[in-house]
Amino acid sequence: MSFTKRILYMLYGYANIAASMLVITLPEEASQMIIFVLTVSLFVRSIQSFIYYFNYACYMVGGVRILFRGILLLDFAIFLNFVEKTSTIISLGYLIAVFCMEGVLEIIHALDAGRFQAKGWKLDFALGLMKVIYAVVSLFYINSLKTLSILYAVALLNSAWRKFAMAFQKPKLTAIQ
Amino acid sequence: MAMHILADTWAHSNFAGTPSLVINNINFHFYELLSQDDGSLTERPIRFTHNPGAPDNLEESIYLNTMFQTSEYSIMNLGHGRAGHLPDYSFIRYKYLPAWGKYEELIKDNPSDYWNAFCQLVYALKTLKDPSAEFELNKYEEEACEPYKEEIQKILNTRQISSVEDWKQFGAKLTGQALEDFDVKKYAAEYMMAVREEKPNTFLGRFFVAAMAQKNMVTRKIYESGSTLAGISLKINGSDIQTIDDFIGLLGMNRKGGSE
Repeated sequence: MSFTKRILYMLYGYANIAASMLVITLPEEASQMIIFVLTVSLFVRSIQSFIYYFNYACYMVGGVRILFRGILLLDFAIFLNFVEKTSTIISLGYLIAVFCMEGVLEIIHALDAGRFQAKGWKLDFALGLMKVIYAVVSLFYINSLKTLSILYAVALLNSAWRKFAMAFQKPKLTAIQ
Repeated sequence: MAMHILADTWAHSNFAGTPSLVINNINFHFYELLSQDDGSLTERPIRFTHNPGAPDNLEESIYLNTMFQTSEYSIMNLGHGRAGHLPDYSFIRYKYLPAWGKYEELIKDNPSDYWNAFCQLVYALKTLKDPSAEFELNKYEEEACEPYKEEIQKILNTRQISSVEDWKQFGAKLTGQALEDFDVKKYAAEYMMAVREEKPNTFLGRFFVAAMAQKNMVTRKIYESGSTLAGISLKINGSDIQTIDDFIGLLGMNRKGGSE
């Protein structure tokens, strides 16, 4: 992993810690800010997809899927923009749902990696499962803004320590045969 | 390194040695061409898997490849990773749709390419031995290889995952000497155990330095052709180094007077 990437992971980690503190102290403003950041991020990624498609991928066999990805990302960005304008509970609920989806994807990747006998798949599975459990527990407190915000803050801290772990992981020597 | 690159230019043709989805991607349209007794070819669809623990299944044409990633610069899109080890199997013939090919099928005949590569390698090595000789493109030492053609073709066309043992036996027969087994763990251990300053002098270290120098040369050639697909190539301290991040070791060696 390059030095720049390590720095980026550390910055993500710090950003997650800062976001978790904001979510606990100012849940309404913090959730709106996080959704705003996600909206902008999705919008930027959709534009990147369009640029990539019209410059390169339109010449590639099967490149039209890149265009579809851009359209999908733009769709999500617009949808998130609407979510931001609703109540704080719905916003937090949406963020937790996204967190749950991340957990499900991590479980799927971990199980896949387990089939390939890759190392560390059990830890990845456990962390993905934790995310899903967070989301399920949140359902029981869906009407309590304070509890939801604490749960989401814990989820953000979970992401933070994982980013730090990735930033400090040892470089591996890979032999490609 | 030079001979390896020359051989790989044949084997890895139609793929680029830089991560690029739009150049190196393949899709489901991938067929192995199998010779029949009457000389005709039949097609069998190739199925790709991503399980590095399982060996390639030659009987059912199930081969390992890298996973599809939409990121242009993903390591999964480096070289022929999307086609797995197929370009490295001397026996195989196949057809597929390369990402850059505008939906035109491309047929790869490895036995033929590998024979040409062998003859060109022999020619290249002969020019290296003769200081006055210059290497010319499209020249092959077929005459020198002719006495061994049958034996070489047999190795090339044998349907097996690794032909190392056959080549070792052939090399031992030619030279009259036994060849040592290549032990990757031994060289990896040598590299890992060496102190930082001594790493470039280890077996693997010299390989890495040669590989970086090769990449330097290729990046510069591509950049000078007017394309920035391989990045921007800068001349630093009068030498062809791409970026300080990647090649700081080479920069240091150049300052000490080492050659690329």
